[in-house]
Amino acid sequence: MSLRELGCSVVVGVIGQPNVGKTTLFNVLTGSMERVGNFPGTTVEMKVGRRAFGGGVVCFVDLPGIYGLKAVSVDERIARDFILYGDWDVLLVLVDSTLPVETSYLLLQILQLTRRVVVALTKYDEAERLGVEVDADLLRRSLGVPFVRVSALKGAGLSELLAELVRVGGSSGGEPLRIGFGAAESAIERLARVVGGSRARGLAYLILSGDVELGERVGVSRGAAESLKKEILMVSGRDSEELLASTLYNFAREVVQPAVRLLRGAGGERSILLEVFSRPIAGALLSILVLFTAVFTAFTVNTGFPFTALLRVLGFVEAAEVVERYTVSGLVEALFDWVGDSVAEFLGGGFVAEFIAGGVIEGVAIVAQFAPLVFVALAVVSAIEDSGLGPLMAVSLHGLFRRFGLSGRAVYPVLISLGCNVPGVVASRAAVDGVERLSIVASASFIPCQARLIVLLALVGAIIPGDPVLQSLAVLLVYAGGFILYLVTALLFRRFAAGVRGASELVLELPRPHWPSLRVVFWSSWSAARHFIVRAGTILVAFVVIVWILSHTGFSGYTGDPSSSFAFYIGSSIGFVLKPLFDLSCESSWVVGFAVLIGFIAKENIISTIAVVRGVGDVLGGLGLNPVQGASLLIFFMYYIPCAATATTIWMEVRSVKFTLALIGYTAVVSLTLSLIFYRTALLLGV
Amino acid sequence: MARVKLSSIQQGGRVRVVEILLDSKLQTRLINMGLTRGATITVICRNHSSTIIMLNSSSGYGRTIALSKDVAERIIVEAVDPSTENCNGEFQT
Repeated sequence: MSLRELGCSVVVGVIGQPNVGKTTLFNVLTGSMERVGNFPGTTVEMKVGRRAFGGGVVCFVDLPGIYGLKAVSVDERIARDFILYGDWDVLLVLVDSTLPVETSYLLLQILQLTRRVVVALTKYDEAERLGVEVDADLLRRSLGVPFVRVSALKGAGLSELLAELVRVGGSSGGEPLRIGFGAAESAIERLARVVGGSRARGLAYLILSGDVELGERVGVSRGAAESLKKEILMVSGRDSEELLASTLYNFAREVVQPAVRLLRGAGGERSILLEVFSRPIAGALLSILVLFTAVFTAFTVNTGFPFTALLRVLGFVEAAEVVERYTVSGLVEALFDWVGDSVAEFLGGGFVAEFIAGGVIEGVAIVAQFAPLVFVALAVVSAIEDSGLGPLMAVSLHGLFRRFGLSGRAVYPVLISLGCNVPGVVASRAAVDGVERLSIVASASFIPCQARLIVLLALVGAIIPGDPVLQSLAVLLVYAGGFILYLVTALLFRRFAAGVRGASELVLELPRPHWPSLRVVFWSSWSAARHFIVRAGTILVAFVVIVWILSHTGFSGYTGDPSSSFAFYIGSSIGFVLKPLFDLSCESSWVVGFAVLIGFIAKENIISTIAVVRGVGDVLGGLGLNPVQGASLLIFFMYYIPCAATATTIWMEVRSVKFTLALIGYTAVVSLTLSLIFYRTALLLGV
Repeated sequence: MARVKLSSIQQGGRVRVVEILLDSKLQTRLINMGLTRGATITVICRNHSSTIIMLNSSSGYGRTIALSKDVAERIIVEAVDPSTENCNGEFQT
């Protein structure tokens, strides 16, 4: 659907450098956000917000936060192509009032292409607090485009901004800004003549900055561009990209600096947080403390864990059960149980009632139970990011993670995955580069989640009865194993699948830390969670329904007996593989295979499946397994394939069926190998 | 002062960028952030894995950037000569 079909009377492209307050302003201007397909030729979604103003509808397209227009990343290519070829009326360029010269760099690149621009001077209230005042009128006169001082948090300047956007959107904007480039001027001018058109100099600037792809798109061969760049090198002794950027920065100083007034001696303020986080050990410990506190707060709100675990350890079992019942996930589960029972009762039993209550509603319930966790986990990440703490933590932990090819940012997905792998995979978006992101996606499912904690505790209790010390040690070893697999898998993926050696490099701007905006945190988290519910929900519900049908129907039609269902045959085929490896009996092998299948839907159901099918609560006894077999299967269950929700999320994040299937295969092989090594070694040692 | 790697500059050191020996993509990222040849910077902090710098700005609140050790090792700097230093930290052109 095109933007015009959405009823937009004015289309505004919103662009700015990272940390200039784009998300906050976008939220305040629009209040909501829709995803209207992808940017052309990419998998990056186009996010659009709307606002009624002056009798029309102003549509805002959220462009990626970038430092410059030279397209070396997907984000920069999207922004460049939207500006050059997109269907827009006016560009809203954000300049940070606390860093007016630095953040004008992107603006000056854009002004060389078009003057249909309105500039928002963001964070002006913060700038005033710091003693920096920016003269918007002087900048308007110097650069020929409107500058509007805005404070998104206070809502100041928004009406003026909207009025300017509508006004400029309906005008031609005039000729692009012309900047002299000294030693590179001759080359710019000659290339501009070849390119032609009103924005020729702006295009020439980008091409001589090294944007080869753009050059070829406008008919400038790579050879011709290289020849001109060499000429600049010979004349000036400097690389053309570096020379052009320096010239642009100097122009920013010449034009923007006179509009900046220091109200008092600015620049002396030092960030205590920066000082603490930059200390190697203290910073790393503080980062881990902040993340653990934040993430476990999220899990406590959702599921009661680890608060409930603490209550149980202290002997308050009933209190723990009350907390579990009234957590968000507990309430959602109770609601769907009630809905399922009511529907079954209304329909009076039978296949249809079972299908709707146990299949469709159960499928929706699984998604609904995940949704709050996803929302809260995303809110935690969003709050850390919005406050500026995220980059500080990434820096403090970089020393540890770089040993495994990751950057410090890889810590978020690890800790979030302890609760649930679904938001853990989503949190991989915080990665520095594409390879690192895929490394995290490939590794995150090894971190034992809460669902697996249930399986872990049940099996450990059965394998090592009556010895809490050994039980605790076993739990610790399983978690340590998960962390090691996470790190090793990330390293292997980076080295052998991506073919990259060394660690992800860290080049990260550190914004001044501040309190996060609750409005922005809620808005961005809700937007992402809603997206998850709609997209993952559709796929997951369909999957759950299919599995329900398989486990409730057989060759004779509907059956309430799992051992005569299609699932039995599928479970038997999995059990057939496991049987000789772990010396399982015929009776136990298909049940284990069936549990593996059910565990793919939701890991916490592994234990209940075994218990229900065998009709006893004793997991080991019910299957006739000895402790060594039980421990081997425990290892297998802990690390084998991601659950359906995680697998679906992995596919949504990477958009590759091949990658998702390969990852499922890899985790299956790794878990099977580890459990077999354990089993065979134990047998050899006569345990 | 001789030309040295940025990674060797102690906390509080004020230097000028002489050369950036990074691959094209990373160099572009740094240039876009304002870290070009001739830029004057102050090392805010340095530890075994990273270097945190502030780009000197006339407004007093320059951009703060964290660089991993590998990146800082490939940025060559020299001491700022107080007699020729532009108080605004302007770049050489």
